[in-house]
Amino acid sequence: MRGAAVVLLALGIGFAHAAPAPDLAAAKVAVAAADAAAGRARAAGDQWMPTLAALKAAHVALARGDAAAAVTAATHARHLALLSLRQAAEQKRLWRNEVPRQ
Amino acid sequence: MRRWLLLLLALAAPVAAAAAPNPAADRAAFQGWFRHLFPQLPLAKYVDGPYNFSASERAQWQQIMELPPYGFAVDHGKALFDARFPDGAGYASCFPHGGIGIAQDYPQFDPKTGRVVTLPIAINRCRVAHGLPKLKLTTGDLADIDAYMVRTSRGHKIDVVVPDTKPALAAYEAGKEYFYSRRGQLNFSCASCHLQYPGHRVRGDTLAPALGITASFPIYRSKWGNMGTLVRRFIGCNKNIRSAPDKPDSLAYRDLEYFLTAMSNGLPIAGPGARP
Amino acid sequence: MTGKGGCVKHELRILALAALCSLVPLAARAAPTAADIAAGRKIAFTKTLGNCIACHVIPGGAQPGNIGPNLTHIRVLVPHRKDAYAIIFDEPARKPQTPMPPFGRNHILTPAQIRQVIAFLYSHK
Repeated sequence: MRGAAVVLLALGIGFAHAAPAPDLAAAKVAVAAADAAAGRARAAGDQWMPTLAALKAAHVALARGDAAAAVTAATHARHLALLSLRQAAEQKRLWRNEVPRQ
Repeated sequence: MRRWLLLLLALAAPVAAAAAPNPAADRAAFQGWFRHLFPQLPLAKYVDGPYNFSASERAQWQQIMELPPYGFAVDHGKALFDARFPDGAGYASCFPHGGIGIAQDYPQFDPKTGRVVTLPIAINRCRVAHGLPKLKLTTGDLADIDAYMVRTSRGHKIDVVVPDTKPALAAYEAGKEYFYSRRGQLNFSCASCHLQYPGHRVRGDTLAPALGITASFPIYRSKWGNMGTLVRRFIGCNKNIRSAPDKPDSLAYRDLEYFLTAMSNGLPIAGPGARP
Repeated sequence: MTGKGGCVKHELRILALAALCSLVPLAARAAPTAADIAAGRKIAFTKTLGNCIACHVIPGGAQPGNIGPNLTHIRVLVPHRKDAYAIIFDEPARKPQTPMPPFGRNHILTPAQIRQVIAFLYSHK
C-alpha cells in the first residue's frame, strides 16, 4: 500500500515537469524543506559543500522571484542533504570496519 | 513478544560491538598497522611524512631545508612570544616550563571545561586570560607562536595523556569515530587516504601516513605560501572531499587532533615542517 | 536513530523514483559520439568534475595518481561497460572498503556524465 502511494507520488512529481510553473508560495515551502534537511545534516555532522551551494542558489533564486529555479535548486539541496544523512546514519555502524585490529 | 525480543537484540548488539575505549590498545594496533605496511621504516621516520616515499620530493625537500621556509615564522613567533602583554605578563607565564619544550604534551584534556585543548587553543586561552583578543587559529601570528613553541620541543617524544575518566575517554572516542567515519559527497574518511593508502599518490601529491602526521605541524606549505596549523589542514582535507569544514575551534577538530596525536605517542616532535 | 534512518531512506526513494520518471525519455540511447568522448575526457581530467586522474592512470592524463587500477587497458580489466557503469555509479555498494567515491549515488556525476566517461575510457584500444 505504502509502495503504491510512493509510486503514485513519484509519478506526480515526475509529471510536475509538464505542470504550470510553481508559484512563490510553493517555492518558499520547497526552500524551507531544504533548509530543514540541511539543518539535520549539519546536526548529524555530515554537511556536504554541494548541499550548501544548492541551498544558496535556492535562496538567491527565491529572493529574485524566480520560483521555478528556486524549486529546482531547493529540491537538489534537499536530496543531497538526505543522502548525507543516510551516509551519516550508515557510518554510525560502518566506521568500526575501518579500524585496524591487532 | 517477538518484536520486543528483536528490539532488545537490536539495542544490545551495538553495545556488545563497542568495547570500552582503550587508547593504549588502539595505539598498539594503529602503529602495528603501519609497521605491517612498511616493515623497513623506523617509527621515528614517520614524522617525515611524504618524504619517505618519493625520492624526488625528498631531494627537493633537503635542498629547501638548507634555508627552511618557516625560519621567518619561528623568529617572528619568538618575538611575539617574548613580548609583554599590557598587564606585564607574557605567554611564558601561562605554561609549564615557561612554554619551552612542551609541545609534545598537547593536546590535553581540560577536566574543568570538559574539552580538549590544543596548543594553539592554549595560546589563545593565555591571551584571553590577560585581556587580549583571540587570534585566528589557522594561520598568521598564532601559527608563528605555535611554530616557535614547537621548534623548542623538537626531538621530544609525543606524550598525549588520555586520563581514565569518562569525559576524557568520550572526547578521545569521538575523535576516533571522526577519523574513521566517511563523510562529504566524495565519501572519504581520514583513514581512507592516510591509513589505507599512505605513500600512494593523489594526482602529484604523495599521501602522508596518519602515523606521525601531527608531529611536523605547524607547516610551511608551498601551496599556501605561508604557515598553517593542523586545523588549517583539517579544513583543507574536508574541502577536498566536499565536506563543509567545521569551525577551527570546534569540538570535532579538537577531538580529532586529540585522537590523532595520541596515536603518535613515542614519535619525536619534528615541527615546524615544510611540505609541498 | 533507526526510525530516523528509515525515514530518510523513504524520502530518498521518492526522490529517486521522481528522478527516474523524468529520465525515461532519455532511456533510448545511441552509440557514443566523438562529442561524448571529448566530454568524458574533460570530466575525467577535471578536479571539480570526475577527477578520475587523481587516482587512476589514464592515457593522455598528466600527473596521474596510483590509488586505483591503471585504466589504460580497461577493456581487459572490465570487459562489459555495464559493469563499469555500476562501479562508477556506486562501488561502495559492491565493496564497502573501497576508496572509490559513489559518483552516481552521491550525485557527483549525472548518469549522462558517467556514460560520457565510459565512452572516453573505452575509446582507448
